[in-house]
Amino acid sequence: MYIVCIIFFYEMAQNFTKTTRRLVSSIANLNKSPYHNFRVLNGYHQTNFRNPTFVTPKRWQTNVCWRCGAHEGSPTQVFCEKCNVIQRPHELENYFKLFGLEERFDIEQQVLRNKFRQLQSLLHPDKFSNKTEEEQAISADYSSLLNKAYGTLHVPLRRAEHLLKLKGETIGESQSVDDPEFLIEIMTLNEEASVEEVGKDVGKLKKLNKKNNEQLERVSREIDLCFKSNDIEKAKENIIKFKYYTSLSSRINGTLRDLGESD
Amino acid sequence: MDQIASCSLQSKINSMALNTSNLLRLGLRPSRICLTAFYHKNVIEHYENPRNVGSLDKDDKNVGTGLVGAPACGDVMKLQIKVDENGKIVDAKFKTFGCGSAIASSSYTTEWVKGKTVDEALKLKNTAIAKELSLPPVKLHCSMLAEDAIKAALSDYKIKQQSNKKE
Repeated sequence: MYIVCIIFFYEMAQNFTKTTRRLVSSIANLNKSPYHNFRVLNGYHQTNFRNPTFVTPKRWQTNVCWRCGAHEGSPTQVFCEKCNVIQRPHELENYFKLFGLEERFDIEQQVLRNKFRQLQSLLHPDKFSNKTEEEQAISADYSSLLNKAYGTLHVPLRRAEHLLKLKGETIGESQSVDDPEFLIEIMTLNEEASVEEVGKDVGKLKKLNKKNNEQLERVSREIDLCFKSNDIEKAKENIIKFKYYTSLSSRINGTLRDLGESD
Repeated sequence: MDQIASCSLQSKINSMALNTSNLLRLGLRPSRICLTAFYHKNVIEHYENPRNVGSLDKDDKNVGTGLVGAPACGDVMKLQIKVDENGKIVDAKFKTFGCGSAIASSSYTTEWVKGKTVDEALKLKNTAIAKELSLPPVKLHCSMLAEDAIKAALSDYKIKQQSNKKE
């Protein structure tokens, strides 16, 4: 135990020195690069996009290149036209805009994937290993934002929730389901698919899975229609249903996996 | 002497390990130190050995059924109570499809409610469940769900009794 403690403490001390050194160097750089500083101080580079307390100089907020000050052409411009330096993302909240896509639920997966790959091939940190630290930092943050955005948009449930958020609605924790019939239905479906009920009957599980997938498809069509007609309340109701069918689906697939069946 | 020194050191580390901001200040990522104990032992105990799982006859006039859902996580919880002629809860059963905290909350609730009177059971607060299970703030809604479920079961029972009296 004693030795473990010593090793632990040694490691901690080492880390502490490292952090202090980083802090000192970042304070020395304060005037030069506040953006980069924040990144180091915070430890997690994703945070600086979302942290509202982060002071952004005026010139960053407009479509002006942070390096040469030239005005950029289009807001989706990734590199400055004049000095060819990587730009910070112009969009942080709206993932559809980030990829230059229309805000709709029924997006083409192929188009999304192509956009994502195209942007990552330009912005991936690997492309910036010979560039300045600041450019590397922007590339790392941009790239991780793209990953997060892609992860959100390519999963239907997350895409729907993101769209709902953009419309100003969220599914809160204190919210309850007011539709008793739907609850009974979900309870029954879950009971039917429970291990106690199906045992090792793979055929029965697959049948239930198929039925559930049909429900998922039906509800996702509903969600699409709701967003198209801008009926946000109804969209929210359907997203809640979609959530329940999704958890049922993952439960069924989990049992199938346990029984040695791949989904 | 060594023993004592290592003990105090250990307790210091423990108290530090509990505070994530301390870790970050030291430049340590939480992953570097194993912060595995996210669930309290009481939650794990109820999750692994849930009490009173099952169903009661929902058409029985002495049985109250509460069915509630938490849309934020896609959880569904059914809680049933059986009341004798003296207004005492003699049996309670639950079925929950959801996360570990939701299962533990409903399991604890059925255990707590047994032997109580209907009026006593109404006084159960989600904070009591959360405290017993040491639920973290992000899981407080699970205890609220259990409170909603027991309330719904009690009101279902009362409605059944009233319609029974009228007949």
